[in-house]
Amino acid sequence: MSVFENKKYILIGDRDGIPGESLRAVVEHIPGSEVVFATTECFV
Amino acid sequence: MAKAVLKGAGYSLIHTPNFLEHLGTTQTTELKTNPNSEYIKTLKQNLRSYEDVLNYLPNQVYIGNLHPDELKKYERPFCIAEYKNGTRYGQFGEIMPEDEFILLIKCADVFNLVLLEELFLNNTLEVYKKHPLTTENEIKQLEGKGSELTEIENAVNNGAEGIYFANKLVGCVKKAHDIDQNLSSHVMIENLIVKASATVALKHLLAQNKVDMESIGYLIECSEEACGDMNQRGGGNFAKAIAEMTGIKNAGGCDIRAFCAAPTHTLIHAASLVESGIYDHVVVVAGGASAKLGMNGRDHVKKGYPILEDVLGSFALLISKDDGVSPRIRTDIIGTHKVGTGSSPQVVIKSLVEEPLYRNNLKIKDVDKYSVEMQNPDLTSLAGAGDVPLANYKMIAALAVMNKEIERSDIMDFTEIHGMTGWAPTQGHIPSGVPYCGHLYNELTTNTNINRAMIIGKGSLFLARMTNLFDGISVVVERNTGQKESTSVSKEEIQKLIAEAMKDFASSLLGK
Repeated sequence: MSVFENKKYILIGDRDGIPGESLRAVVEHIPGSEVVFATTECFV
Repeated sequence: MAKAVLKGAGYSLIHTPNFLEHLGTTQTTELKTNPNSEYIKTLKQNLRSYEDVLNYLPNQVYIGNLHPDELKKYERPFCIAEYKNGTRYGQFGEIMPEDEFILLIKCADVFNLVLLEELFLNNTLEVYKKHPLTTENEIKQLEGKGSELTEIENAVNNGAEGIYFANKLVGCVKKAHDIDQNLSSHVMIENLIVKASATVALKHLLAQNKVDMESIGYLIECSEEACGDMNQRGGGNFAKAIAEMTGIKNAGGCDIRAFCAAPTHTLIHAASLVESGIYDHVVVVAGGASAKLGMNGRDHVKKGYPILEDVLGSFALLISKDDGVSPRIRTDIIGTHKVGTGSSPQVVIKSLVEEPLYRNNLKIKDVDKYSVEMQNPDLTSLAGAGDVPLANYKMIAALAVMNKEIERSDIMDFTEIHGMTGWAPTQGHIPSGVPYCGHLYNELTTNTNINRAMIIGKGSLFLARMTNLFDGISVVVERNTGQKESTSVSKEEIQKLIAEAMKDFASSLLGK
């Protein structure tokens, strides 16, 4: 079991890096994970 | 059909520390939610002077006084550089001070919504009369049009948006309707700022005398604001308003909106209108975003630097029929981020860079310069958002590695050779691909080793809460060889077409 399993996630993506939805797509494959909030921020 | 060309570019910045305080959403939000914060208390002392803004290296690159490569010679952040040669005017435009710009906001107002205090107006007008691009019409709109301060104060107390200079109230913008939120004083000042700032860049473009103003057939405005009323928010039309203010009488126009990617979308639209023969000359123009002033200011101050997002940006590009000299816009080499593309950085870059190049038998390294989102890295790095252009170049280089065009060890060399250090203010659409067009014109019309560039625009559609899709579009611009493109069909091609038609006809007779 990895440290990422069975955790709740707050995901903050960057529009010029990894978007929140891409982070969500990865995290949702982790056993027992729950995405509580995912967003993408724009700094420009 | 002959390709359209990039014939000229005008760029302007406007130093606006007072608008930063009163219109920048970071500041106005902080004032509402945390009015006693250290950021608000020390805001004024963290603002830069006009001289500091002139001597800020990225700003001098923006108006064409320095080549982008000059930035590589300096340590970052650029705001600590001991550079004192900054000037107001450059090859592409100017860095305008706030007081003179306030006069242009009044010139932009055709519904008597803007009041300026009499003494401020008169004194500033005397200075503005010496500007090389001041028009008689502007002077006529301003002379004797001052208001009493008490009238302005009363208007502000009744909901007008104050206009400040040197921390004093010097004017206001009144609401344009009693209850319509889209015509509120706040929306009106934002929109008048777009109109007025776009005009500054457009006047500089026209001053380059590359086109007779009467022969401009169309303008397209591509900023991020929306003008309209409660029945059609964003109805438009900034473009015709800007053309009218600038005295371009024979042009039609419209607005295109696509967040930060809009300028590249618009560049392609303009090139298509010219290439198809509909218009000989089309102008792409955009004003600045007052809401984004000081957007990352809290982080700049936390790191011990002044608030660096203190300028509005604007630009104007002239797209014309082929003159045999100006860089050609390759509308056949366009990369489109499609609905089904996805939003990971890898697939975005594939769709914008790899797909159009490979489709045209070009390699990623065949593009000499990539103009991505050319945000000045001071502004984003100090806010923890990294160096945006460099991140884009690394992604393009990584794609070249995956496609075995270059070795992994060559990634940094690739970013150095095919990339540039960013210099544009974080004004949304302003940094997106197009800041390079002025320098690109110079590179592609003189003896340099740059022959082909790609302009890339990217946009964050999720901000409108309509879709989570990403957006992006790219186009290649090339040195003009002066050779006319073949527009006729050869004898061999005609013979082939007839043979195919005969074959089809014969097949139909045989019932196949």
